[in-house]
Amino acid sequence: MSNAALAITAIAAVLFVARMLRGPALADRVISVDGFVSTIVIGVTIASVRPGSGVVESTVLVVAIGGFVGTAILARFIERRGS
Amino acid sequence: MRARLRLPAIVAWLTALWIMLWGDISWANVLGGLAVAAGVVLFARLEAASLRPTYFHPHWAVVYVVHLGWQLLLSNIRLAVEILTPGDGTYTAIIAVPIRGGSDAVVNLVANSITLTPGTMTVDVRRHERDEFDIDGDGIIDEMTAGVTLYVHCIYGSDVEAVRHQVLELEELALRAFGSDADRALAHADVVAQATVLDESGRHTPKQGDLS
Amino acid sequence: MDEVLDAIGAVALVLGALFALLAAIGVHKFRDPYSRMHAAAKSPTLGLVLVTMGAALQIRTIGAVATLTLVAILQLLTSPVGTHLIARAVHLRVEVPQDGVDELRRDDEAVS
Repeated sequence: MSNAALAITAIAAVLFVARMLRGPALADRVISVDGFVSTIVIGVTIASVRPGSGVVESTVLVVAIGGFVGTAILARFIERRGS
Repeated sequence: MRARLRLPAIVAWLTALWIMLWGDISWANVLGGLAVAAGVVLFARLEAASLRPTYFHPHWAVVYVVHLGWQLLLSNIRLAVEILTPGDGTYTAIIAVPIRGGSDAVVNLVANSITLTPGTMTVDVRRHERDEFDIDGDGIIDEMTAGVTLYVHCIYGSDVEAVRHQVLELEELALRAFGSDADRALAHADVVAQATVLDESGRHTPKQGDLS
Repeated sequence: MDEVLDAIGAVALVLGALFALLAAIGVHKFRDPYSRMHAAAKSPTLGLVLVTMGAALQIRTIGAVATLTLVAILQLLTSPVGTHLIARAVHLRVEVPQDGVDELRRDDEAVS
């Protein structure tokens, strides 16, 4: 079942990347990156149930924290860079 | 019945986190955790605002958390319906909602919670000067002008007053659940006119206080 | 009992992933940055809560449940903050026309 969940997550990730590439503005790209990062956290969490994935729950915590910090930095980036 | 959390609680919480990450309660972990927690707290140079006691009232706090969880679920169901049905039923708007505004902690909580409720998302938060009126002299504030204006983006923004009402209800709940005594005194008040100034062209604009 | 928890956990995992997919579709369907943010902020948050619940139900050790609960709480606390930061940055930089009232622009223009 985790296979199905991972597959769905992968499709979501690809869609976010597609929007990131299409834009049209910087704001849209940043929003897609934010969604993409959250999707990655979801993917890592799903992977933690699979034996042999090398992912432990602490990994998930670190990825979640990293995701938030990344989003915050990204927001600063729009503030400075503009469009 | 209320609880106050302060610096020792922060250290205790960080130590517990450390122990949990190592996964095993041994003396080495406890002492190591305390050391790391103390180090972090000293290094972080926490501002006075972070160390102000946080209040919570167990009963209202539980109500608040449950309410918020439910709202998150509702907002996603609404989003799902909107996204998966063809066509565009949205009517976007950015609405200024004058709220009572209490301590920073409560305003912060309300602004964040609005992002999770159906159809709404905070875009900006501004503080003003405010006046409070105790009309019937019973010691309970009945009316007040807004202390804070929340600018809320809605995807279903046709009914402006409904959105304002929704936000004010949420704020009242937050004030009761996590507010200091001063905050809870505001919970009963109705927000009347927003404190405004008259500019040269004769228009009323929100009076801006100092953004601290 | 174990199988029941595993099954519920599996459903939660798939549901959580579906909400991530919903967010991705939403970001494509909506046309302006703010609406897209509604989708990109709220849906993955619920998705992560569901997925952490599912993982906790499947792994079932105390350490895992505690850490995963922490992850869920962390996400609930930080997701709105991140969204607000982006929304504020977008407002400072980009003009986004609204269907209805835009009282933020009204108030901004009033003081400038």
